[in-house]
Amino acid sequence: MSKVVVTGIGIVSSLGNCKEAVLTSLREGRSGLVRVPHMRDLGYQCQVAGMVRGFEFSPSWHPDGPRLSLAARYAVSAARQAFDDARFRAGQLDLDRVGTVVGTGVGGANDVNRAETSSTPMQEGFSGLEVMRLMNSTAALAVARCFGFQGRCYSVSSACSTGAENIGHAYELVRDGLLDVCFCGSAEEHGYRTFWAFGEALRASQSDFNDRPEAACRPYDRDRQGLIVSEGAGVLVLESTEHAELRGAPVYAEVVGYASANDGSDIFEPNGVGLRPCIRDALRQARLNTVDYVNTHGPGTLIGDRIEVEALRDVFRETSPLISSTKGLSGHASAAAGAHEMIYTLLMMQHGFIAATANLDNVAPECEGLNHVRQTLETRINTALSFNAGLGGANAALVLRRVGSQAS
Amino acid sequence: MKRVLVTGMGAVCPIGNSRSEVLHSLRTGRSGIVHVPEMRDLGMRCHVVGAVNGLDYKQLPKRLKLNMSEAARYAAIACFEAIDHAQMPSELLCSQKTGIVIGSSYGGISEVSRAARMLQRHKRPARLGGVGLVKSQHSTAPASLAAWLGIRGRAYSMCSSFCTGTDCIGHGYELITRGVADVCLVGATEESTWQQIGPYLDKEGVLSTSFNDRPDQAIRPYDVRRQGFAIAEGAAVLVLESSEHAERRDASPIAEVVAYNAARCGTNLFCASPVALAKCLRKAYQDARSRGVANIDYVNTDGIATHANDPVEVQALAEVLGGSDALVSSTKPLHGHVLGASGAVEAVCTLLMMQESFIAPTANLEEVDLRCRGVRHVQALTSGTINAAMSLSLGAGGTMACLVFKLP
Repeated sequence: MSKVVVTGIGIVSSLGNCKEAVLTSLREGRSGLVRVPHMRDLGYQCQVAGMVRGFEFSPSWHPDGPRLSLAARYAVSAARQAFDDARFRAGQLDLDRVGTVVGTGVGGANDVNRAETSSTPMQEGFSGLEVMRLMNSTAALAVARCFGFQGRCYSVSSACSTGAENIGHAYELVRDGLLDVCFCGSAEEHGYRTFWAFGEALRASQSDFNDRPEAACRPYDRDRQGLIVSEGAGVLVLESTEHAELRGAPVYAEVVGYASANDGSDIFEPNGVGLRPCIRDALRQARLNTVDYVNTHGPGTLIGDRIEVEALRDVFRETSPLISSTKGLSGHASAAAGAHEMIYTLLMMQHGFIAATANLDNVAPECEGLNHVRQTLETRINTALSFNAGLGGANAALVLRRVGSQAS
Repeated sequence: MKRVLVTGMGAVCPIGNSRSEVLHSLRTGRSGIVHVPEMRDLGMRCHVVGAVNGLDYKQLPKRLKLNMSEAARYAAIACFEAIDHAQMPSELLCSQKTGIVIGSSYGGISEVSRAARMLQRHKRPARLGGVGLVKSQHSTAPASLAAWLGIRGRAYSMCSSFCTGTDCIGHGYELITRGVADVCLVGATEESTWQQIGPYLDKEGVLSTSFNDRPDQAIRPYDVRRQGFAIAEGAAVLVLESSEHAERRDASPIAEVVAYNAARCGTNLFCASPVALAKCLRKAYQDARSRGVANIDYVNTDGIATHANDPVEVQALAEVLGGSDALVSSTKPLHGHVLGASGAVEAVCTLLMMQESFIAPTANLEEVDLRCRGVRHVQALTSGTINAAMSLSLGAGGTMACLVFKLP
């Protein structure tokens, strides 16, 4: 069994398209939520979303260039950042020992839209590559091909917890010695032309905040109305400590626990049955009773927020760690959320602060009893937990520890 | 390391909607490939697909069926058959030590298509129905089945292009060997996708085109007149169980899973490198040897039937099998290319043949292409004990995976 460390990160999100921009957004509480005119045109009541803005994709980044799905382009950009961030040098990697585990929730949703709304697909200038654009492993395949990685390559998908699940798989593959390095994370492209409509139909995001988009997502707040959808990609480099030490790699933190469990009861609404054992199991693997900081799922929905607060109160009892949800700023990037939030957490650990839960003006009575962070807090984080829980009863949790720090 | 047994299996595919129907088709060489006139209307050159026929949806509880995409329905019917076959009591499934890993390449793609179509036409997202949120997720099958069966362990889908089925079974195998799960329902499913991806594959020239009037002859792996494959739909699910768990409840095993390996290589859409493939297969063969397999008696190949890929596959197999007596056949000409679910459907075909001591020939293999020689192709129904068998899959984007089963 190897120890596993994070040695590189890359991100494309509503909070910025590189780690520096995202760090600024987190520190200063800059919202990534905007009003989306396309959503108005398509008849959405809630017209707010966390959109990736100013994203540029250079065709030279990938042999298939712009013919990749949007989710894959986000992921390739994030993976290239992560590759540079981890300071790999050409020829340094045994490609057979490098894996790629990058998930999506829906895959190339906009390509489905194009395939569906095109009346003459045989005449259009697209090729067999389409089979990969629409596929769930679209991002993983693109990232692996970008660098020529030859280890295992696949995507894991479990709705809202997809990101955490992919990182967890990578952690296990490196820990068990099947790989030295694994590029892992998740990606989701915007779906206002397709699957975002289902959220509206479910009234998961009915909102009166079209004129104040930055106030639309309000985790744990009395006036919360639902989640705000978002998009993007996050990719992390996980590496065995031996491999990282050998090449003198910079280390963000050690991954010390991963657990995944299902509620096994309701497909629409989480009930916390799976979340409790999931968090407990992850902490047990990390040999921790508590952590300094919890980046929660906190989607800002009436039920989801309440369920997870109840679970956290049960798990941590009287000693609530500091908790915040970054979704108030970023929105809920569906499958990409778990990877984004790991990266947000790692940036906070590195820079010694905790971003507040945005828009948490009045803690709802059912969400009380936890140590909510309501203003940016300068503090050292030695241990952190990031978890996701949601649609389909899926739950996944990851525990991080600062390298060299003692267990708290 | 724990031993992993297969104790149940079920299938819904073009050659049968149950184990016994699939077995009958394998024995008699009954093809499930049919002619679809709409493909011609779209301007495609290939007019054949492998279609699921006469499936009785009444075996699904109404409340469950409502929340399910077509892919999830196929998976559910196969899953219930597998659970029944394993004589697994339902209370044993309601556990944190039970997992469900059911992948696909395209998830609930027709639901995403429907959203695109309806949104463009009516611009009324709220009218789409919130259930679509569950149906459109890639994890549609494992999520709805976990909720229905009360499974509280790991529940997600995986995708590795067209190796998905093999990788899902392999992942379940690893979860049990590591003690994460005692029981794991594994497999893959694919709903009808020719409308979304057919035109692009057709244009790429990897689909069969000259046998539209004789669908049962359309797919011809290793044959001189091969032209490509036909897109198919279906699902297959296995019940995997640790040997302790199976013994405790006195279950009778069908086979033992003794090896799994996966890798990725190459740059082209449909052409792996023979060197990398041989390396991947050799590792699995070695692992199988260390777990008591003397010889592989039978290999169920990928047999995608494209000009470029078949020779690559045979070359790698010839190298790994050396001068051994292993017999080789592909069942794809009968059931078609079930895309993500191929590996799972082919695993069920392999296990049925192991159980019944016969080998179905590669249908339509009349004259072996010079470039596909070097292994012992099965060209007529052969009887004989299969003590150990390998099933391998290759995917677009260069993924590859294989499993080795042995009789208990």
